[in-house]
Amino acid sequence: MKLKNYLSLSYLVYFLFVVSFMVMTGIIGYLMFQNIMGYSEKSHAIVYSHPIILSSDQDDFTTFNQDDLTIQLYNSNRGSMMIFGKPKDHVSAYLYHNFVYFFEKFSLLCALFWGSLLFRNFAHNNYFNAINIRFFFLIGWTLFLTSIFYEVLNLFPKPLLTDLPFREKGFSFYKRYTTDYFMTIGLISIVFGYVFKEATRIHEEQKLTV
Amino acid sequence: MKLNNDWTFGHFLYYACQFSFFGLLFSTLVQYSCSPKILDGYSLSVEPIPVIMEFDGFKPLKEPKEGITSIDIQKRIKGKVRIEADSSDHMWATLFYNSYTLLKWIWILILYFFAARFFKNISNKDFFNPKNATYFSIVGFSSLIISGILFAFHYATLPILGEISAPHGIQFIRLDIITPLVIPGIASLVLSHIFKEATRIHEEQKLTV
Repeated sequence: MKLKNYLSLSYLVYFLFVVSFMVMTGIIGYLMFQNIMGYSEKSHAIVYSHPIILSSDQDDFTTFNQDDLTIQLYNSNRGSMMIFGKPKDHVSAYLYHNFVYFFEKFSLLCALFWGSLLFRNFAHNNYFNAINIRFFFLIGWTLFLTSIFYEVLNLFPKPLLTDLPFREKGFSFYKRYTTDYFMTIGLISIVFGYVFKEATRIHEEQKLTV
Repeated sequence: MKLNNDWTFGHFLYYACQFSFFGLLFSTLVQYSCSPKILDGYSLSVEPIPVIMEFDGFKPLKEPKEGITSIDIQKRIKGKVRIEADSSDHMWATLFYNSYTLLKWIWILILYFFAARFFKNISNKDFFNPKNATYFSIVGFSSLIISGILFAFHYATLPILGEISAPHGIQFIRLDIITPLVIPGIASLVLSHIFKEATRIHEEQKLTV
């Protein structure tokens, strides 16, 4: 095994993907284990790190003056919240929110796995073949459909969150999921899938001609 | 100029990138060259400033419902701020808050410009054009450089916002501008290498034929 071969950008990206995949797997495994063990506890996170949008109707919160300055805070801020309770009393909400939380992580895990295989092929100078095209499409469609899935979920009421008192200090809480980069990366990956498909076709044609 | 009859997904992406590039270039030039808000000394930044804040006002909501022990809202929130002041009195802050947005738009313009050129080649079935590799390496290197600069902006002390004492215990921590451009940047360099290699193989095969 020569070190020199491993000092390429493709290997760097490949190793980055592998390390990210392993770290993510560890974190997800740990969180899942914690949630399974916490099911019978009296107080455990039923909703874990749920994204929220906070907006305030208090004027002194949104605008304040200091010396010659006026600071204006926009009325839509992003944060996250956790709900603790007895999971056994809210089984459906517990399952729903865990599914929603882990689904995004699993999509990312799949994308990292396929990405690592794709860049391993690139690192081995194996650029134009059907498997790489399939990896591009798998990554693209997984991320794109995940982002669509979360946008659809935002349209429906979420268990437990709809009937809780969400007002404190004049804030309103709008609860929505965000999958920031999933759609963009997914679409780019699909486009590259088409580009590689076409390039592979031309490459194959030329090989046959030769 | 006639409308291309051979309409493909590649053409669509080419025109989308081209229109986005010119639209964005126009709006950026207009915003930064003749923004009345800055010229009149009304606002320090052309765009709202994205910030990460800490707010101590969220106390855990205890026992809101049967079976629920508490609702905790994490004190770190992300939002946008506008500072109204005479920009001539706060030159450093004006420069700071406008330069990172300008940098962001420059990166997006570079991306659209070279994406349009790449998709133009693709839609013309010119996959193995040597310029494709150059476009990817330019995008890759610019992504890495700009992500480094944005990283420095992210961790820099905020002028004005970092010093003021806001009501309700709000603290402005840092700019919310961290974008994961490093991996796309490296991936773009890898794609540049792939296209370079593909062009080499293609040229060799053409010579063999």
